Amino acid sequence: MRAIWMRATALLALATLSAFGCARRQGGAEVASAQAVSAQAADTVKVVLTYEQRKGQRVFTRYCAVCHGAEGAGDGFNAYNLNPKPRDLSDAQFQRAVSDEWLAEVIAQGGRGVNRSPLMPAWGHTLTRGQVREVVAFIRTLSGKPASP
Amino acid sequence: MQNLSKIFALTSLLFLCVLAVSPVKDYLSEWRRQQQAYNRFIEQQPRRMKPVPIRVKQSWAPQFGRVDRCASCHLGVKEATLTNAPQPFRAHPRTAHDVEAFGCTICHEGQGPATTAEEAHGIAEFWERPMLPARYVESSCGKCHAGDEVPDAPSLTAGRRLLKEAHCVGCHKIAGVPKLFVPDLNDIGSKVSRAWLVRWLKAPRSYWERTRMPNFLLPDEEAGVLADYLMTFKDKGRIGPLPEALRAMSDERRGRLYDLGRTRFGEARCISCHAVGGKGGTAAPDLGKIGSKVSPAWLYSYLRDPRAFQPDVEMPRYGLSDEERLAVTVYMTTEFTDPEVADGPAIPSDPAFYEKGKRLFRAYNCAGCHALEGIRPGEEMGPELSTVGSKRLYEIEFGRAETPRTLHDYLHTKLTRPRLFAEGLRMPDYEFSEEEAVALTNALLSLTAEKVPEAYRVPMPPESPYAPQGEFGKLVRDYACFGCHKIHGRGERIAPDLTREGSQAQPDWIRRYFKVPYSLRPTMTERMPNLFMKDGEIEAVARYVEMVLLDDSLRVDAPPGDGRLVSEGKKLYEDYGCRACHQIGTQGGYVGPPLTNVGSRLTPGWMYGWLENPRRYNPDTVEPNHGLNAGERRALTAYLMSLKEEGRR
Repeated sequence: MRAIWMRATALLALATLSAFGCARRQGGAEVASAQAVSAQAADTVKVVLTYEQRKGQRVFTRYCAVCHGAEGAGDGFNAYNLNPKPRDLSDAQFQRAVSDEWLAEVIAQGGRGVNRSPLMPAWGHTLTRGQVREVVAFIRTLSGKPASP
Repeated sequence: MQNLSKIFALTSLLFLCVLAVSPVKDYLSEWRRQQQAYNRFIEQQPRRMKPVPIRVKQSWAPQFGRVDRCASCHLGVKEATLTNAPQPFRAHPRTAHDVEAFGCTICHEGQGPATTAEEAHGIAEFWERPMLPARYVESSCGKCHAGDEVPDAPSLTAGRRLLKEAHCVGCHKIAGVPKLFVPDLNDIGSKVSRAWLVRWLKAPRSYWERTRMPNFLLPDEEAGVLADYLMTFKDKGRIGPLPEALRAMSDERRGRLYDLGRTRFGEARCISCHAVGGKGGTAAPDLGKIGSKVSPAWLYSYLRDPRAFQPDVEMPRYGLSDEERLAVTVYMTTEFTDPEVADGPAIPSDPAFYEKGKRLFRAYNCAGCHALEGIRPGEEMGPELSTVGSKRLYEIEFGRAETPRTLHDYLHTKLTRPRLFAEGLRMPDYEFSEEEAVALTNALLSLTAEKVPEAYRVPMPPESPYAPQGEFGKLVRDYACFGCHKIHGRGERIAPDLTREGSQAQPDWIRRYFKVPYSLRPTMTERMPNLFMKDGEIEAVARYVEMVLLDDSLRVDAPPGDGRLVSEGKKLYEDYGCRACHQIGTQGGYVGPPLTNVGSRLTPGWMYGWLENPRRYNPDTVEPNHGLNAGERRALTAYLMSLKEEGRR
């Protein structure tokens, strides 16, 4: 009698073990948290841009920053030669007033194409639509506030 | 007996319960919860989206042998509207590669078939390649892209450049990475002073901030012994004597030489490549303290023919007369001195310095970079890095360091703290910035043994076979033209590509330019130096350029210079806002070259072709394609050709 009880208990224990055993949580939480800390440290150095914004930033730095400035404040080294002055893209009010579509159009058509200063050249023959969209995404980060949806 | 059947019933019941554990666990699994959460999440979205059926989602990229179940939780990967959604529902940014076809882990690594976040991302036991942190994802581009420049991977591109420039191949074998020019040390004892050498060995960056020479963290006595050993390598005839006259020279004559030297130093645009006290070019050593480093005799001889000393150096052989060379030597060795260098740390000599120094020279593998007579070159001391990106964790010695046990953390730590992982390591400290260390880690991780199918591989662009011969070839070598200019794919990109120079510039202008070179772009640091070429040399170069460096597609007839077309062009010049970047007279911007006398400089064919598509002739140009039609291009060309230098047609 006693043997049967013992056998049953043993069977039960075995079954429980086999059910839970294979899914044993594996270590590594400690290392993962260390990673999170180092990633966080990198974050505090500069504002983390999305992949698309970073691509836009590279195009902006290459083509736009000479006049609009690296931070978009309209203070690139060539700005003082220009009249009218390049747009201050870091102006939050301006950013609120314009839509993404308008910004993309100005970039693609240039000032001449939208009845503004012709000193802004048209980039539609040089940049792809995707690149223009990425530049717009980056310009939206210049006012220091996320774009309103 | 009845008791027995009771027990049997009870056990059966319990057994049934136990069997139910597995389905219950599956029902409560993480991915199921995420999918339910996703379906709740998209209900709150402004745009209606289809809820996902609850089941494990799997992508299969047979060409890479990858099976990924990441999409079981990352449900918004392909939803363009979810670009700002919280993870794990965020959309994947648009990249050059289709997420569907490539899967996830080929770029991000991690355990693709896993169905819990921790196992898929994290460091699971027996899983060698955990998910790469975002900053190292670019390393995966390098599995297929072999070239130095990988599009949309700036960190990997920078890392691969740094891998060459930091000259890791001095100690580590890396397939496909060439050795660069490093000065030999065969006459170092006659070139520099001991005080300078000790200081340099202790801290190279205190002399030249951008030097490739790393800091070997030598204790004082080792630096002293090594310096004493190196100082025994004296000149064997390469260094000629200084003119005797210099010793007995009056102060007045010395002053005149100094002034002449200063003028020539400026005209030769030495600071295009060299910096003086941190200001100027970055390609060659800082000259700000050169007077406290080299002996005047060495400098005087070196300026006569740099390649006699350093066959692979990019320094041009300036056509200075002996007097001018002496003047530049006097100017540089009196102007650019630093008393601190001469007062270097007083380290006493060790009588056994020769043997000890030689041992140190070998121990730190100085010969990996610097040639020295009697020392066998090219022995690799460090482990080969050709496939370091596939290194297994058990092969890595972490020692007692608290570095997380992953390959990328190991590499990053090794680059920033090279001697952390064990006692007695000899890897020097390169003092990399965080950005550089991440870039280099990306470059190293990209050196994998993983085989991707041929169809996906983007091979390294072939090296240009262009090697000009004869008189022109000799001049190109002497004046180190390829150090700045590119011709037919050979050379650097610092200065304009000259592949089509004969079709671009007018022959007369080329000849005049070499007499008094000027930079077309005054905002540049790297400007064309005055090489002080002889008339015959200029003629030889000009003849080669106008006969060989041509592009027939740029031969259009000069448009008739009629006044109507010119004024039409002038109006277009204003309409298109050309003056935003170009200057005519005193009006206009500084981004492009000034166009004041462009009609005496460029050919009409070039202008016409350039206006059609600037990128066809210079992929790096900032000038946009304005989308001009043929008539507009003709008018603008006519206008620009009318802008001629006075007195020239």
